[in-house]
Amino acid sequence: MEDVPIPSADAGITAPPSLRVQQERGSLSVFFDGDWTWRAPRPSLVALEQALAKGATEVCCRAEGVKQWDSSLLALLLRLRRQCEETRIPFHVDTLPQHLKRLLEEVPQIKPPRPPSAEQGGLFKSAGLKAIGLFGGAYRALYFTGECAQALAKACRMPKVLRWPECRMVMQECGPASLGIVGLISFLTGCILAWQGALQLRQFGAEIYVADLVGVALVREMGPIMVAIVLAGRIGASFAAHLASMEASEEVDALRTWGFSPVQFLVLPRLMALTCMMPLLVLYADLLGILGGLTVSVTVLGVARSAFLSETWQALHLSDLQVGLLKSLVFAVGVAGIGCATGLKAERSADGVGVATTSSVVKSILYIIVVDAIFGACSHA
Amino acid sequence: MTANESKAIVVRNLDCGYDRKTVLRGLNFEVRHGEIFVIMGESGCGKSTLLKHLIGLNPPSAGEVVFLGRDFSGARGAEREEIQKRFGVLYQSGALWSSLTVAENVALPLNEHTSLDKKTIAEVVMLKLALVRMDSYAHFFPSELSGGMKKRAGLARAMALDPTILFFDEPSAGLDPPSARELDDLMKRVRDTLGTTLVVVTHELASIFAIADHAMMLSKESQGMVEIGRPAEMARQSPHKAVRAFLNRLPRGHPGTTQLHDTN
Repeated sequence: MEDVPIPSADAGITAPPSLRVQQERGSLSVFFDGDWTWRAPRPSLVALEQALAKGATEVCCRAEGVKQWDSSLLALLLRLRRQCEETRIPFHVDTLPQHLKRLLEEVPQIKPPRPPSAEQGGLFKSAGLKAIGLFGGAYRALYFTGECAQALAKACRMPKVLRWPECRMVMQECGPASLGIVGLISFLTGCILAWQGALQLRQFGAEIYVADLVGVALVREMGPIMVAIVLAGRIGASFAAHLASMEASEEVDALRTWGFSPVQFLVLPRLMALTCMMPLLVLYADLLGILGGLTVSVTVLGVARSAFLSETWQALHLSDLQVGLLKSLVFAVGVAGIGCATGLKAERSADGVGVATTSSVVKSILYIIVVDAIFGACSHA
Repeated sequence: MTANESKAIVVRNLDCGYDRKTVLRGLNFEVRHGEIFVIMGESGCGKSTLLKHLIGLNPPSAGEVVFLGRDFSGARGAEREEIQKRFGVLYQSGALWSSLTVAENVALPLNEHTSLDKKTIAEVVMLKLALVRMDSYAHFFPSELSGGMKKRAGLARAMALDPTILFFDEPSAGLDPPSARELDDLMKRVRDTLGTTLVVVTHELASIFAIADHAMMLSKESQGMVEIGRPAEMARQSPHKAVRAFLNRLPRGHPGTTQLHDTN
């Protein structure tokens, strides 16, 4: 056969690959014919395996009938050679094409891959490692909070150190660019609250109290929570993805080597922007939510518009608004802080960016719910 | 066999660019079977842009790219996929998929494009990794490898389907000299043992002289090819001063290096 290596496989399949074995006085001859490429279906190897199982004193491979070949034939020859070495019988490849023989010499012995070592130590070790991880996480969170506080104190002393252009850009992203989605969700939340409240209150002929329900629930609870969750998904995740990408492309290292604090440079503008915009968005969400409740009350329940507004005005106290706004501030600090911290400690890979983004959203939502529960418990106490 | 089929790659009147901006105009060159062909030139001259056009990542504004006698730039659908399986690419960073182990990276093209059984695929994977001396790292993730190892693993993946042509984008970039030399030797070994045609984009002079059978010099000023030849001969007796300056590592301000088409 023409001694052409793998590029000959460019031609179409001229003859399907076949394999024939011949045993003579213990010597096993294996004849390869046709096109041995991955494009052609492989022939059955049963005859070969049976002949090897019977036992042989030597194995001779012959490939005069092979027209084209690639790694699939080479892999089979390597397997045969390994089996011969294991059973300590001679393996002859004298009649193989030059390139094929050279490749067999190039790969003298493929080392079996070392599987990753399994974790040992059982329950106590894994519990211990979990605990260490938990303490490590708590320490890092505390350290990051300290760094943020330090950076904020420095920015208060010297406002010039804060990167105002970036802060304005993030404010634009958090605030005006989020108005549409926040408005839609708040309006619909108001509608749903009014609807569900009306179903219960109608039984007592107290539809007018829908206004109290919508007003108080939105201003104290639902407004801040809905806005915080939307911003955790929209803004917190984008903080995490952006900073994780910067970490992966060594931009954060470059900041450190230039003596810039990544917290001062990257985290503080984001923290300030979100903390400024979240209370404003909550006020906007409260208004849109009450508008949603008003729309359902007037159109579906037949409540007079003036009665709904006056009832809302009477039901709401300044303290409700204060609690809602205070929550929004705490949520904003948490969402921005979690997004940035998760991004900065991300692994330096495409995978790391994805993990950081998901982790930031999950942690932020958990934080929002836990903090809201604490607020609820404190206000009752 | 026609004249085109005797060549691994034929490029005719190719215009390369992106975002309506033309970087290279009217390129014409051929790459022979089994040779190592280097595309060289100063930074920003369009080497990587040309590579992206050759491998089909960017569509050409004009002209055609013919692989093994088949028009790649005009091919669509199944025909294009079939041609794509004939070549492999080693990207500058290795571009290994980070969520897969080294062995899984090499196995993925085999799983997707062939009907080989799992045992054979595992054997082919280990064979490819052994060829690039990475068989001991089959279960490692890309993040656990050094730059040189990533490139070798990337080469094993590029060779997964036994391609006829292999493209390399700046293979020596970011490697220490011994690792760069090892990669050069590996590229020559791949050509010698597998008969593969190699197209290498680089401006590393040591690599160019070590591996290239033929080299093509591109120019930013003329937005095209300046010369094709054997690097050692070009360095000694190129009619273009800029080519001699580039291959002899002379500074840009050296007399005569600014004009590429002077004949002194």
